[in-house]
Amino acid sequence: MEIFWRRESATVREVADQLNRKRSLAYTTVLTLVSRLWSRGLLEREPEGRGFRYWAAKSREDFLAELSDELIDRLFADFGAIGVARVGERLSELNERERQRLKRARRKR
Amino acid sequence: MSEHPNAIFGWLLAAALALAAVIANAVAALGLTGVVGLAGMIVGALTACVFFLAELGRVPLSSLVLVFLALATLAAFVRTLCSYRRERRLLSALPLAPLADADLLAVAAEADVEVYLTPARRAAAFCFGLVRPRVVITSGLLERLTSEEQAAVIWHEAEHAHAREPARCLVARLAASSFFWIPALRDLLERFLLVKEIAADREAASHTSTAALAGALFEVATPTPALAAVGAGDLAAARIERLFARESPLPVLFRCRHLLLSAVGATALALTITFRAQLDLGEQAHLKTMLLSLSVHGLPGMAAGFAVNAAILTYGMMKTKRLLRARRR
Repeated sequence: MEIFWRRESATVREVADQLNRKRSLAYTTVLTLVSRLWSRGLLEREPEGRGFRYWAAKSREDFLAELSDELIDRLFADFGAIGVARVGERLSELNERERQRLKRARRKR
Repeated sequence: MSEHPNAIFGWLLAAALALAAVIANAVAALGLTGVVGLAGMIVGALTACVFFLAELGRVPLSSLVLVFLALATLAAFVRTLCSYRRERRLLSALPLAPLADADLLAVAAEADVEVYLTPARRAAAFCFGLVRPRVVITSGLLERLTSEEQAAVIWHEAEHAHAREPARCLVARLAASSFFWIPALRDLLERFLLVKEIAADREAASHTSTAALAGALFEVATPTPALAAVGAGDLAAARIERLFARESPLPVLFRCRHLLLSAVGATALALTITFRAQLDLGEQAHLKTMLLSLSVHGLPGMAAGFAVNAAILTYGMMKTKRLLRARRR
């Protein structure tokens, strides 16, 4: 994903070339990785020559925001947090009357 | 009972340790062969093998109940530990960046706590790390708060970090979930979670103001009725009540139904220990029962046993598949 965020778009060959500067990876390995990212909706593509040209479907900021939202949701699903102390402990069941009370107590901005 | 988090935590831990000691002692008295034999029989009986069912009739009920309780407790303990491992994996995947805002950095330094920012849009703040507790705040929460409210969140979480709350939460949840057959421990856990929040709220309000903390709590208190557990709303309301009136009463510690069930659990354990049985699980005994069982029940019994086994195995495989799929997602 780093490569796709740094450059606007790339073919699998270009990604493989860039990756191979640091470590040697087979073209097919890179192809599998890229197709997997595409099938998960992280990349978009259009046909180019015999293959496809890929680009990131979301910006780095959007991607990280969605990832952390999802992770936090999973962390707190059904009071699931075990070794975590959070500020909103048990507050999701707060009734409307108490919520309004908090709102009133809040200083005017 | 005291409202101090340490006292409640102490009670919870003492109760769990006492139960663990009693069970360990009784299990040790049965001996390794006895426990393994009985465990095998319980598993066998659950899968309805005729041989094991026949053998069960020979074993004193008290020893069976004891080993069953010990196995269930161990399974619940391991299950909670596995959930904790899953939670650690989620946390290690969470993108974290150090705080950039100079004012917040100053607050964090004054509160003597490490604070990280995560780019989530949800409003949330929490403290994690057993050995080195760290605080995480979402950028979504920071955006919705004034600077004084942000400071209140940091002071609240700093109190958790200083009290090593993540480690204590883990121990408390392990204690309550392992001995699930004594639901009074669950009530103690709930009380511990409540009073530790009240203590942290008090600390945060004393460094900032009640209004600032109220603002921060308002933002994190997103109503999700689907998640509401029985009685959990009372605990949330009690926490808010305490914010405005220091002496307001807390909800009743133990619920009647939980006390009753705990009494049943404790009595079962006490009976198994009072009527401790002498076991004779020699090789010959097994052989005799197996031959007897085969001759009495014959093929229809075995066929029924196999059918139940197949049903249980299929159910187990389906459950594992669903778990794996959920994890992959």
